[in-house]
Amino acid sequence: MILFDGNSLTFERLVAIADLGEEVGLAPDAVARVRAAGAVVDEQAAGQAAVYGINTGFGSFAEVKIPADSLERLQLNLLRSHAAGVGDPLPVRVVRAMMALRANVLAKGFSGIRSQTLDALVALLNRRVHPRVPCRGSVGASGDLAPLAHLALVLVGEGEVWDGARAAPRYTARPARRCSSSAAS
Amino acid sequence: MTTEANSATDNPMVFAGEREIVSGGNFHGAPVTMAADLAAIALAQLATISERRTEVPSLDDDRPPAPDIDTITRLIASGVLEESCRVAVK
Repeated sequence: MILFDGNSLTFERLVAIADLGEEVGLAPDAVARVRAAGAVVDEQAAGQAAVYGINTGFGSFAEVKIPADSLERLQLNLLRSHAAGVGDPLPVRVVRAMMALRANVLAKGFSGIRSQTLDALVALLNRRVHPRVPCRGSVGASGDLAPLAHLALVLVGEGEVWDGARAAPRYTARPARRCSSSAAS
Repeated sequence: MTTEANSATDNPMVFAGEREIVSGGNFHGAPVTMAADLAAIALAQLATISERRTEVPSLDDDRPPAPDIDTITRLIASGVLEESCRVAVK
């Protein structure tokens, strides 16, 4: 089993996860760091001060404070609005690599994610639930907003996942949409 | 690449020790793409060298006349090489 701790992910381990389906988990010290950072987010979200990305809009709305009772909707809308990539879906091995890289970064404990959410991402890898992520729309210079939004939508029960069958892609109504392709492994 | 894979790339970033949330630019992944582009160019060069070093053994004399395998193999190698170079600099 490979444990994410945010410091020791190598190419070899990434390939083992992406291609060989190696089981993954979170290092105990990572869990402690993630919880500590998550508590800071909870604290600031409950406060009056505007903190970018926590209780503000994004981009040109970065200065706009969002009221506390709308924060949940803000975060959900962030995922929905950014899940707008285009092009063919990335192969499953690439999606697995994305998931592993993101889980590793989140395990560093500088992101403020809830530990339950990170647990869910790790569980997706272990249970081979793979989000459908369109290959175009990443700009690199601003994170991987669109591809990661497609990945994260699955964690809230939306978006699309591969079902591994070798049929043509199917796009049905959400939630819990699935898609299939020969590219799945 | 390994450094990037083990770096905090979120925005904002949360510092539990200081109880602070700070917006920054660590999400900027361009340095990795530059390194990857350079690696692709180097690999295309390696492919060029490799293609020139290809040697196709000649067929045994007692076999019946066959299509020119040497020619078609080089043709395919040229095609793949051309594509490699194009992809590397795209």
